[in-house]
Amino acid sequence: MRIHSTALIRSTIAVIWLIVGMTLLTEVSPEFKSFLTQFSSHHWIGKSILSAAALVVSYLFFKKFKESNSVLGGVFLVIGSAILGGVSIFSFFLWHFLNK
Amino acid sequence: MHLLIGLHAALGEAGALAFLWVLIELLNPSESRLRRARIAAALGTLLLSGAWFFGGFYYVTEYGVAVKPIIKSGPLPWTHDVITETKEHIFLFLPLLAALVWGLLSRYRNELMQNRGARIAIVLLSGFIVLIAFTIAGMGFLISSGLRAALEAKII
Repeated sequence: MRIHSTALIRSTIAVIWLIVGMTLLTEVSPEFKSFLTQFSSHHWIGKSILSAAALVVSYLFFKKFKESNSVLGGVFLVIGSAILGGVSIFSFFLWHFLNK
Repeated sequence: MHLLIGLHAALGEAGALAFLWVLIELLNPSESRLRRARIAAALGTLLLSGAWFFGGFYYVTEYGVAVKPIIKSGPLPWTHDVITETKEHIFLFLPLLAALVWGLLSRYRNELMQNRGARIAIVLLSGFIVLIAFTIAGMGFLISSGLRAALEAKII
């Protein structure tokens, strides 16, 4: 089975932002945290399971599109998303700590 | 001393070194170097997934109950509130990025000797994985320091 590089890159970006979104939502919405905990016994396990499932589903979705020749551009977007996502998570928890 | 923390740290560091190995193999690629890079990426992905599993198991079963309350009652509560909270989520990026490197190496295989753009992309991504993995190791040091400071404050 030939791997579709564009689908792999796009699904990685989608899951990075899903992790960032779920992380922030867990902190501001007790209902969402409780949903994750009920679904998997711990919110962190819930996020991990949802991320793995989202990777598979989004890869299958993006696989329908044409494969791009620009791998480097896609990888820049992956690295940029991981940096921006990481900084967003860190800034949120820092802000939360300073405003307690 | 805790076995799960030891496994988490050792697997994470070995995974980071596997991606450093990938990076080095790609600097001047040949068929045999690309084959070794694919092996190193597969190994690195498994090692980082193992670090994720054992770190997560420790976090869920031990840390929240036994360690977090001590750190939060000590002189460095930010090591939990900011550092652990950030680390536990950024860590989820690593198996994803590792699988992406492995996937790209498997997709392009020997084409990487001619495809400079794809090669640079994999080199950058591998270097980024090494950087994140060692940043996370530094965060682990800060969290341990938070626990130690809390225990020392209680003893003295």
